[in-house]
Amino acid sequence: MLAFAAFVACAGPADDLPADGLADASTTRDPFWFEDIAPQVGADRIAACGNPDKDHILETLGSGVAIADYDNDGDQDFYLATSQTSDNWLAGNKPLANSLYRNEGGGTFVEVGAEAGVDLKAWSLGTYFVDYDNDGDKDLFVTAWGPNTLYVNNGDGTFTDVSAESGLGNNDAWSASAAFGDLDLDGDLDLYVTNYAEYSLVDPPHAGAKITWRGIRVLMGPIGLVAEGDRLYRNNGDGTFTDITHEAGIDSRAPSYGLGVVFSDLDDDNDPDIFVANDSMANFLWRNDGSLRFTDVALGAGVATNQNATEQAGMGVDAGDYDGDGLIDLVVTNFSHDFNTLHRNHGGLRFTDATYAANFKDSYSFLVWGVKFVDYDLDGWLDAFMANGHVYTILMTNQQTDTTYKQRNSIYRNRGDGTFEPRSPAAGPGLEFEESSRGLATGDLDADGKPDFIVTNIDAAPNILINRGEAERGWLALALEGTRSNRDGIGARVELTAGGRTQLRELNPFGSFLSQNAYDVMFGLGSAETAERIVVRWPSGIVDEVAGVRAGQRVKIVEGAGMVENSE
Amino acid sequence: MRLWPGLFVVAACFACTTPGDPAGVSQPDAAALAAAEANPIYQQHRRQFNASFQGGDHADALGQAKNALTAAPVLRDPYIWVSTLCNQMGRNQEAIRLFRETTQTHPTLALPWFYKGFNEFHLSLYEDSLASFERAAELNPEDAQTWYRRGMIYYIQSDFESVARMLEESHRLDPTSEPTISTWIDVLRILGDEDRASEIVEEAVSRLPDSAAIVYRKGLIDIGRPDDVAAERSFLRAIELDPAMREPHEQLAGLLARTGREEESRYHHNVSSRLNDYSRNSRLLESRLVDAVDGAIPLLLAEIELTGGEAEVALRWFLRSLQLGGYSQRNAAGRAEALFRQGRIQQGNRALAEAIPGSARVMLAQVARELAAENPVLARESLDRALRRAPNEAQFLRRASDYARRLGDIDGSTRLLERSIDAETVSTAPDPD
Repeated sequence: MLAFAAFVACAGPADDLPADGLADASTTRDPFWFEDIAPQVGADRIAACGNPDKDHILETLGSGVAIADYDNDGDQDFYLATSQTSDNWLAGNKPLANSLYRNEGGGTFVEVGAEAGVDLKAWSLGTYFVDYDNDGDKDLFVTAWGPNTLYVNNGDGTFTDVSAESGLGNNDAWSASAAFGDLDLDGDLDLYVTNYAEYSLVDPPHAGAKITWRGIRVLMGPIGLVAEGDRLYRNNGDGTFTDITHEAGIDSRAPSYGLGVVFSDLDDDNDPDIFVANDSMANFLWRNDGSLRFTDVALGAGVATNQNATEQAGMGVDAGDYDGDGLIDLVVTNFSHDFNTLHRNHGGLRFTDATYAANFKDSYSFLVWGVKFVDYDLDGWLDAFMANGHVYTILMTNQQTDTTYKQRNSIYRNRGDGTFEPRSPAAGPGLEFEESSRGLATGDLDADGKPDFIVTNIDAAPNILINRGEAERGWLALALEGTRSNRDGIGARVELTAGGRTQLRELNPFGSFLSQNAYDVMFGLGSAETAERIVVRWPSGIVDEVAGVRAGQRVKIVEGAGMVENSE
Repeated sequence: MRLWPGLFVVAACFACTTPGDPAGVSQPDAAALAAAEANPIYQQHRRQFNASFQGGDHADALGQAKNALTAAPVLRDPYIWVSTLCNQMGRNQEAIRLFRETTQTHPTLALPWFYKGFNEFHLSLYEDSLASFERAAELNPEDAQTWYRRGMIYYIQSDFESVARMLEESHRLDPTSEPTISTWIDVLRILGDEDRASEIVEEAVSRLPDSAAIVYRKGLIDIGRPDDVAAERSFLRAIELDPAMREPHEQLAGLLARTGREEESRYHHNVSSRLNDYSRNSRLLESRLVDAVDGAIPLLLAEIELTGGEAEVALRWFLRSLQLGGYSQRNAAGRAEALFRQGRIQQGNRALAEAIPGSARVMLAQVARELAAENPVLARESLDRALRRAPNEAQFLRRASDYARRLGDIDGSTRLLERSIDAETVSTAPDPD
């Protein structure tokens, strides 16, 4: 076990802040800033993804991170995926294992992957804690190039591989992101898995093929690879899943290079819809028509492409009400020399591309993967965090282009007027480092009410970014527990009114890229000391309402019973 | 309307259509240009250059171009010749060296700085290129292209405020440039200045009502307002002006789907998908060249590029195909068509002589020749003959559609485009007899 003093010892206050509380992004530090504590906590395992030279597109996607309290001890643990080097893989060796870091409290983590039975040695990509059997503890799902893996939580700190009997282990494909949600509103969690393309290291398609990109020869992208269709699984409620891809209409679209997926009730009709970010192809928006039937309405909704009708290289995705109008918007991350796209929801499944209006223009320089809407500065508006890193390793040595392989990550502060302001690197040393980042998840790792982040990096150790916010702002963390709905309340909509403003959140721990976020619903309250009203609309249709909740605490709300616990 | 050429336009070598230098603070005046043009040494090298280039002796042509540059460094043409040939032969560094030397021997001339910047840009040496264009602008601030090129580098560097400044100045100097206006509108929108973008669009549409690119951008502004009715009108008009422009088809597909017109939406989406296949196919086929055992893949790439209007790139692929062997008849027809599209009639005729007379591809090449020679009647006849035995291949049909449009046959052009949607994207199958 490794202790880390830095976890609990905050640095001194930021100096010379301008009147609006923000520093000049190029000079001084913001009041909410981040510090990487991964080295102190010993989270130093390198996540490989093929060989460092990246001669195959397979070696470029990286792997993700999942954050949850898997042992129900009240703090957030995390799980990191890794693949193998291609040389090892081809030699039949799989020495690298996924890692489970248990939060011991007081600023210590310990790696317990082997002890817990989840030290999976595969070509892992996505990782997801999820209570698929509704028994009150988080199970674990891992996507891979190769069969996916489902572990059931035994409730004693260990897990058992149930891939075969669950019906989820037979997807022998190149899977990327996945998302769970109660699509048929029957109280258990169904599953969507994005699949990318057919690929073999032994007999790679377009072996050695290069294209010219900005004057240099680089690895070829996915175009020309045979895309693999995504899969949709119905949870049978007995520990098994049934592949309903065809019955649900998901195969009504030609297979695409799926990378990101998020569930969200985008048409506000009380059931989750599915948005899929595809690489170099049009995105999907699967409207939930009920009875586990879906129709792709992305084209008409205006989210298949960007505003210029261009199919983008969609990587990560998140859903959130960034503009506070009570409708859930979408953000999709893309390749470099393109913009991340912000699709603003106008209701009735009509979106417009608000990328420019929202001032996301600096994303043009970055190749972006993980993304999360989160109110990191607790002012009541959803900010955005993005994990950046290129795929062309030649950029490490080639000075000819205007971009780099390792890139710093991006954090954008929501100004509350529909626009964002880039705050890296003023948001502290945690936003200064440069790696080729991929996965991204958020959760309150030190239980201080401020969202922290974990970022995975390709061929490098992760970053654990602790939010050192210094401003006096209120917060509330809501832990939901479903009774008629799924146990964790995934898909619940929460409206919180504080200081005269109502904020909307949807409990959706999935999205981002290959990663899963902690389950608490986090709110920043700004200067408000109390949430006047909290309304939870559960997937079952039950509505719970609580009033007068003091800021600065974690509150448990149980479906049908309202607030049953607080930390006051 | 002036459609600015890409970096290297061979046609300009012969037609010399690029405008003379605008009056600048330190640039040669009209008398000096006329004197240079009349210089017998320059004239001699110019003639020899033309002969060598048209004869395919590029090495000698480059030598002549260099001599012409030395004889008349105030003229634009020799810079274009050198740039074009060096680019074709992958010798951009040589052009950069030559132009650098010219800046030293003629320090007040903007042209060598401009073309040095061109070549540096082509090699993705953006900082060097920007510095060259900046120096060119200092020496000749009245050249709209210099400002435009500077803007393009700032675009790559994602400095959009600077792009907007550069394009505004370029537009002030040349308000008829479609690329400048289109990019300026895009950048203003990136910067969130929809009002200004809207102003520019309105002004541009009245100035250049037949520009599909600008009418399309009006549609984008309409959608943002939002005014779906006006947007639909704009996109339809853009398609009318250029049926092969993909974006308005895709925009219409979305707009029509939103308003329940599923069948029409599907049609436009299919067109868009087919047009999109294009760029995909070219990238894919290029990557497969490593496995190429005959000339098929470069031939298909050549035809894709030819359809996309990149005649020079197409010619390079045709030559590569010839080296690998096979498809010589089809190759000859394709080369001829590309050469005709560049206005190189004699060379095109020579290539055409290698092909079997009467094949559909030969006739399509003849359409290009007659269009280049401004013989619309003969072009129409050739097109009709070509279509009687047209292969069911999208590239052929799309070029035919393009020619029909150029001949003013909008309905025919649209029908051919529709046919191309259901045709094979690319094919090496023998053409019908």
